Amino acid sequence: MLETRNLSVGYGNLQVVHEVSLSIGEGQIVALVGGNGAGKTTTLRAISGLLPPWEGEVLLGGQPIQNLKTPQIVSLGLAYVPERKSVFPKMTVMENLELALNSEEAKQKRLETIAEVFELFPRISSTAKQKQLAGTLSGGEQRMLVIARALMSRPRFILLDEPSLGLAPRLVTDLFKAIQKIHAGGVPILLVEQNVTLALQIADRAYVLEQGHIVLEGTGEELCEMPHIREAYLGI
Amino acid sequence: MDYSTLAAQLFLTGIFLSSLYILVTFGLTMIFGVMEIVNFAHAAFAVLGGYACLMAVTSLAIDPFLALLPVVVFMSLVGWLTFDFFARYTLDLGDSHVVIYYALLLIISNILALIYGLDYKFIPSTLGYTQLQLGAVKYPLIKALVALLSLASVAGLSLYLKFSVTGKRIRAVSQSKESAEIMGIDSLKIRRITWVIGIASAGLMGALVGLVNPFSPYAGTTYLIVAFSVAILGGMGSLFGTIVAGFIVGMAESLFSLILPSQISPVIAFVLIIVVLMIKPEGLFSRA
Repeated sequence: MLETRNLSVGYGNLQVVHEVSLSIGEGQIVALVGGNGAGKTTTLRAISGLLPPWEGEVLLGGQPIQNLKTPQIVSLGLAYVPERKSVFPKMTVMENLELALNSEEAKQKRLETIAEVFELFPRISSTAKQKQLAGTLSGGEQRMLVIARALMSRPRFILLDEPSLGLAPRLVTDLFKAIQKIHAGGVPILLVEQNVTLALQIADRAYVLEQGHIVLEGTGEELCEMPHIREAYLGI
Repeated sequence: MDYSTLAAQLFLTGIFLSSLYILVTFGLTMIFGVMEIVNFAHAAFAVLGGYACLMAVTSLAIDPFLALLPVVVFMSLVGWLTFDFFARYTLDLGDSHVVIYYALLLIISNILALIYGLDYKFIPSTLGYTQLQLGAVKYPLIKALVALLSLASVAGLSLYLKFSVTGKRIRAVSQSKESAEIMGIDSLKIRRITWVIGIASAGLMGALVGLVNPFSPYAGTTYLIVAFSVAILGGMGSLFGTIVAGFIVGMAESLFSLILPSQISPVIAFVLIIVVLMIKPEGLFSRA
């Protein structure tokens, strides 16, 4: 469904991602894990068109997208949920959600999608919350709003960048339950996470990125068993 | 004249000045918020609007208030062309774009000087010196109409930005360009329409001013300075800030016109800015 082949990306003169090849099949959740500065977010930014790749290809549904601009990639059905707070702070929750309706299909299914989104994230679904300015929401609520917004475009593929970052543990559990429900709906997800434990628990497969190189690949269970992972990432 | 009449006069003059300052700054601050461009040529476009109105009135022999419509259409076209052939290429220049836009200001002013000469021109109006009688206060009808039209335009633009789909997209891009791109909003289109609205509203303000004050090709300079003052005071990029700051500056200028000669009354704007920026450097309502 989504593939990268020998993707290399950097900033200025600094190469951050080295010949990374990933593949996410139909209906899978694949995790991309690694420590700080490993190049995970850079990889996602390159896939979504925000960063031009130095080398390599990105294929969505078999179609090369590495040279397309972000709005074009988004119109092909890719949704990117960035790690930073990226809500529109001075617009209401509802306005944020509605701005994501960028295709005919999305617009027609608007009410259906809103119902689904509010079921996934009840914390932002009350009438009062809907009218609240997004910038005044708590960190966890903003994170939910950004994911909900991505869902409004009825994407064919979701890039999730560190959804648990900075959130309280209780919220993280709720969030990951929501992610599993989204996955159950059939949408393939590429999940970037520093929280390796959680990521490996819900992922079908995972890649480990260290200093811009893929060093390990396997199913969630396989990786949990590997000594390197257990020491370096799971603290066991 | 007793004090209440004086106060009423000052208030009306303040509203009149404020309405024009808000209108011209609206476009300037929108352009900054969405495109991150400091449009030094903004007031030159206003002056261009004044000349366009003069041309419309003299060649089409219509009432100047009716001429405002073709002026807005013309200035929108000017906006469109200047975006596609100029502004869009300046979007990634960073701070050095400032020099280029100042050059544009000079180019427009000089072209107007070549065509029309340096004499002050005035847009004739059949309303002449008719005065409105509001209780004990007299106020020129034409100034009242100009103020009303300015305020109505600002109100219309504000409603458009708040409630229309494109308006919301414009606000979204100004709040977070990257998030807007991620959601499929074509930021180039949005920046184009923002620029066009900015230029058209500047031209409208210039035409409205031309109905009341004589203008020449270089008259833009004073308005440029006041517009920047209002924009900085209100916080660059904040439309609400522009409205509040516009009223503050307009009212202050009107008040101080009692004790200052009219040539230096814009000084008030600067003094206000210095005071406010010392207390709150990012302006009253800036988006950090």
